[in-house]
Amino acid sequence: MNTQTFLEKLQDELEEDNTLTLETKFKELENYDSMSVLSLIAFIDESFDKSLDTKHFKDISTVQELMELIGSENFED
Amino acid sequence: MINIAAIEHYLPEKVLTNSDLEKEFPEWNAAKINAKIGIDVRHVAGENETSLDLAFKACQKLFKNYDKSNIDFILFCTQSPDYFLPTTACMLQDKLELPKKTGALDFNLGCSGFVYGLALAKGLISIGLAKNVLLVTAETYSKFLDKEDKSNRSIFGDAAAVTIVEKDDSKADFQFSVGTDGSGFENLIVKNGASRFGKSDDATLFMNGPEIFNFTIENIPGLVEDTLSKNSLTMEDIDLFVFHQANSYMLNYLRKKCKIPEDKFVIDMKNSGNTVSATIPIALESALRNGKIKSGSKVLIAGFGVGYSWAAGIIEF
Repeated sequence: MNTQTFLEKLQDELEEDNTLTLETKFKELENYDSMSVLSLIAFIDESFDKSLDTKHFKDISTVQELMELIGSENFED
Repeated sequence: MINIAAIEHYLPEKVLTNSDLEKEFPEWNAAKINAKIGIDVRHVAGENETSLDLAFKACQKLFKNYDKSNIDFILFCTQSPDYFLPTTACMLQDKLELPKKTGALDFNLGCSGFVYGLALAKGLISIGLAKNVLLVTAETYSKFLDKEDKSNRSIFGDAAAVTIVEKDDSKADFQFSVGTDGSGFENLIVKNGASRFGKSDDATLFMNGPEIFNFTIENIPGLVEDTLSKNSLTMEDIDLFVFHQANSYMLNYLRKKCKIPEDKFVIDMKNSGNTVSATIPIALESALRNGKIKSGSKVLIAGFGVGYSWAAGIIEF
């Protein structure tokens, strides 16, 4: 997946009105709540067939860090 | 082999609505979260109301249309029993004034409990120990919830469901599929109050929701496939899929992942919440009432959660 598509899909999944960037911090998002983690899990499973160890979730603050956790091999650019 | 002859349920009178939660936690977007989990109302047992009490009331409703003298075995599934001992099923035998030759036992399972209960009932019927089993799935998780734990208070509701499983040789002999992964035991747990951590007033429930979601994504699609192939059936042979009603977001994702058409998939928890082992029979009962399940319908049921423990099976109505 390329980064732009990823950002758009992620925005959609998290039901955000504003465009996301690599620097966006999840906790600062308007609609981020306890259910958002479930959305992230579903999105990453569906798009990358990958299950994320939720222990790592609390260390993630930005979109960039989430992408690193998914693994750079999953991004084309 | 077996037939579900009757199902009833009882929900405690006291309710907790989304607006109640909003009032208690004004900083929290209860409306939005509850829209996502698909729950409007959950019922909460009164201070002196227990799983046994809820089960007894469900039985009273059941016996309006079912002759209790047929029952020869009680299987009682609960994780919130009245006492460590004695067995809740024994007290229920007495309360229901069932004969002393009635068999009775409790088993401790959560969301997989109803499906396990059917499998156990089938086993008891197969060995000739029972002909008509009263399967009780009754839970009062509210007693384990911290007042400040808004997430779990939004999700869990108290309830009792009672199901009559009878011997019926006109029905196909469908096989069950079960699974266990105890390595996840700490992700849904009431740690205090039992033997490991001793006496405590602080017996509160902890749930790692994201990890539970991961576990279901990993295991439930395979469980459905396994259950179908064990019974030489395909997706198309099944008229309705009734999964444990955990929350509607998780259910929708599992449905997509299992490639189950929307019109064959039940989401029915708006007015009772996640009632643990009672969700499947409550959903079955309402599907029977609204005609989604007809005579001859094949229904695939799947329960999964605390343990981790999971089980699935096929019921012919």
